[in-house]
Amino acid sequence: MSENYFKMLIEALERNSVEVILSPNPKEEAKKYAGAVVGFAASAAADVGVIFFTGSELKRSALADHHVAVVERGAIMPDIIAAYRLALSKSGKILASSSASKTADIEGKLVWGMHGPRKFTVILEAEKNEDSASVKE
Amino acid sequence: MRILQALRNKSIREGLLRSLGNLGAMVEENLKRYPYLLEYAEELKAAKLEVARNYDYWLDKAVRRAEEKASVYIAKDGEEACRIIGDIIGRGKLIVKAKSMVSEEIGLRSYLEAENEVWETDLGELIIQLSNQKPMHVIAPAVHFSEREVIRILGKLGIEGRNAEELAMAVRNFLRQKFLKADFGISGCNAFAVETARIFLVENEGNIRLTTSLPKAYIAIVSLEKLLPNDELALKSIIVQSAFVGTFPPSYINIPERDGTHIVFLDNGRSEVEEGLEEQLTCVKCGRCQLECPVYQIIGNVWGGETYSGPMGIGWSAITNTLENSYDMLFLCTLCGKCEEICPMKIDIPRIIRHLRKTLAISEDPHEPPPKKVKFFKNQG
Repeated sequence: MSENYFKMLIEALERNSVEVILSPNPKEEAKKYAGAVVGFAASAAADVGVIFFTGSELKRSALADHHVAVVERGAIMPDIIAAYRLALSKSGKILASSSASKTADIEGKLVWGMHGPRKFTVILEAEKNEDSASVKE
Repeated sequence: MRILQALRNKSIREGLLRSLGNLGAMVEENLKRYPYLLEYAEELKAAKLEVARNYDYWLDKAVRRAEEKASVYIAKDGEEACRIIGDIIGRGKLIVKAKSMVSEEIGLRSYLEAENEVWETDLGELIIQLSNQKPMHVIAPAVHFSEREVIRILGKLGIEGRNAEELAMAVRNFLRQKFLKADFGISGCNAFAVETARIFLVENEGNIRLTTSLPKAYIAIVSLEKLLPNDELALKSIIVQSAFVGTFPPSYINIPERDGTHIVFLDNGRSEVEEGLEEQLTCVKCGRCQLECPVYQIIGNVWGGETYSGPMGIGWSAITNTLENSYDMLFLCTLCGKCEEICPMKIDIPRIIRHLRKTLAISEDPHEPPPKKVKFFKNQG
């Protein structure tokens, strides 16, 4: 995984209005989100910010108000096709999310949390002292 | 008369132009940021034409693979599909539906409503269900209703709210109870990978994820043009479909794999198309041609066929045998060529419309249907 993909993923997730947290120990960081449903990503597509999960995450995450995804560095792939392949190598049942649930069906007005999570947070495995600003430099 | 009424309805124009403004800019951005989208579209068109040349072969293969994990049915037409699904469901059941143009095509909701409780779960499609209209656009069905009109329409269910956000949250709460209690979930299919019998579905609201996973059983309707050889092409198909109408990446990609799955493969005219219409079968139904069409921008879904409207709706209506009541619509097209220009599959829609006009013109009686279809694609692959 090149550093470039790491930076690309952060930018793509931010474009998708996803909250991005960088942590050298993402599993520990995830414990802070007691009220949320935390899932471990099977893979992530850097260019578009699509996160793949295995099917075991399906119902819990679909019904959650706040969905938190933990993404390890090795799971970051350049694009959706590569991320799909990696996820499929881990499980035959997969799904993907790129943002919180949303709709613009009434006068084009954007509303978050239509049927699924109102908020989507991605905790990315980072190097020590690495934060969003330093990655983008 | 319908055309005159549509011309007087300013909210159609306002809604469609607002969507074009919002989504059109996103399409341009997508194409700039992800140049591979054009290559995907080209690859997809070739694959779809190849599959369409021998639907019999691919359907047979799809059925055999799907039978390994689901109950499988083949419906020759919409009537048979409704009967099959009605038999699976029975009576007195609670059904949640994902927005699906193919279910509109076969009239499934009204068929099931006679003996069951049926809910559309996409917000726009629920508004359409309650207003007893047909969708204005394939991905934005209620784009022509103002916030004030939606307050009135949802009020029929006792759902209250002062604005879009409050209304959406009230609908969320109302439908969440239906999802949790539902006996059946029904969806269409954005792409079907024959090799693995996987159903690919994209969405933003999260209703499809709930529809396909929470109910006790799940029914997918897969029309033949959704068949693609493998997962990678199916994935590219949903990427192209969402990117070219400005909703990329979709919030959710769903690939339902669960017990209690029923798959209904639907032909309804697709395996027997007359020469001249074959290109329409490569359409991914992204709906971009609807938003970009200058006629559609003025009168909306009045222009087109009974189910499928706008430029792509003419070809689909001819394929699914519903153009007979809409021949006059052929002559509303200005043949400006915008639809072909912006179509991800580069379908020559003006040529399809000219072809259908010609077919009609050579008929002795313009009210007579065009010549019977021939199996154009059979045994050419």
